[in-house]
Amino acid sequence: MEITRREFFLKSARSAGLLALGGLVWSAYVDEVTASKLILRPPGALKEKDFLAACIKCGLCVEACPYDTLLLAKPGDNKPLGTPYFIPRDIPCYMCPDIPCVPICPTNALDEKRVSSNGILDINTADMGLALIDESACIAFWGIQCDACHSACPLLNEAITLEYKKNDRTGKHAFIVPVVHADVCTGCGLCERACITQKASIFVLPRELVTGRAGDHYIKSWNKKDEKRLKNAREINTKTKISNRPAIDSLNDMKGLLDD
Amino acid sequence: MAKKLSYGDLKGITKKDKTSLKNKAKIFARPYMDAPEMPDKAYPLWMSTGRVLEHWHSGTMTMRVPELYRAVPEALCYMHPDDAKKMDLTQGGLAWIESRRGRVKARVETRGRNRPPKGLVFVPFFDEKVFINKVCLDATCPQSKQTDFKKCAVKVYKA
Repeated sequence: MEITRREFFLKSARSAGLLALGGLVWSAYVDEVTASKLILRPPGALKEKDFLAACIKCGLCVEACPYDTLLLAKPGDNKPLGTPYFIPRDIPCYMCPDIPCVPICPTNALDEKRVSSNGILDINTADMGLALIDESACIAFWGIQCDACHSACPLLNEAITLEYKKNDRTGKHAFIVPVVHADVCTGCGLCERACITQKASIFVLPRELVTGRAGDHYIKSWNKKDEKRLKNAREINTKTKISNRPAIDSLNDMKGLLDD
Repeated sequence: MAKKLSYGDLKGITKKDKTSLKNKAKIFARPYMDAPEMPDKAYPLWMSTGRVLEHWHSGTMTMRVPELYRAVPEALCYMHPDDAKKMDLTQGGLAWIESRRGRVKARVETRGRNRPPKGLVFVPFFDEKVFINKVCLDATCPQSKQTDFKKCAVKVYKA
């Protein structure tokens, strides 16, 4: 096929334009995919990586939510496009006992097993995140009485308890401060929603992001349950320069270790 | 009041000698009377009304404070989970609370801070959208004329 000079320039300009557009869209998409660390998923969601692989972005969970808690990520939300998430300060998860958003999931990206105990749906086992308290902004830590988060908690006195401490500033009053118990908290965000400070001083973040791990080096010897972790403890080999040679050699001859 | 008093029962004085009641609580045993309305087969639950910490009375001021409104935006029907189960109600679901005088619709809450015993539901009165006054009983104590808003018989069913 003959191409005139004019056609040739037109075509190349068009394809260059298309390519640039495609590149823009792609880079925006990559941006959104990588910015998903802080996202809060519906109850029963698989680990983020598996969840993104399994979620087909059908939106059934969003439709099933009776409180309009769940949202589908739109372009510009800086979240993986089309995946469900929620913003607890706006609308938290109200922890329905029948968890309508989970069984409806066609691909098990929201897995019933992760929100069941003994084969029965149990929203109290959900793990959407973990509530954290900013003690410098929470007015209860200033000595002003407030237990809004505590009274909003659906697992009151289990996930959030109140702790009494002496207020040394006045010498005669008490601090009544909220304490979150990480093993019970489901990350529903009802506390974040209820928090009375201008920007919430108690807020939910993905658990993986905000929890530490003591590791196998440390076991609570006074706690029977914690001692069980010993069984799964892996052998720990500490490798240093001195352990490369047999012990006697390194004791008799400090060669290489005292070079300086 | 450390005045010496005579002993007696509901019918009158039994011991003439006056005794000092210094440092003792003075308790008067008054005759018992049934509540004007009590739960029965048709209306099997006690209903009590009252306040929540966040809202003062009918909420005309506190419901306009953004922090308080956000903390407790609506009146809920607090009840025991077993009662809710018996009446086929779900946590967070809507229910009618009906007495012989009227009915209101509210969401059922079985967990969290207010956990009434079995056989009693509690609906606070701060919320104009849950007008629990329609359900309450307009009776008064025959002696003191104290109103009896705090207890009446209701049935609760799915809305």
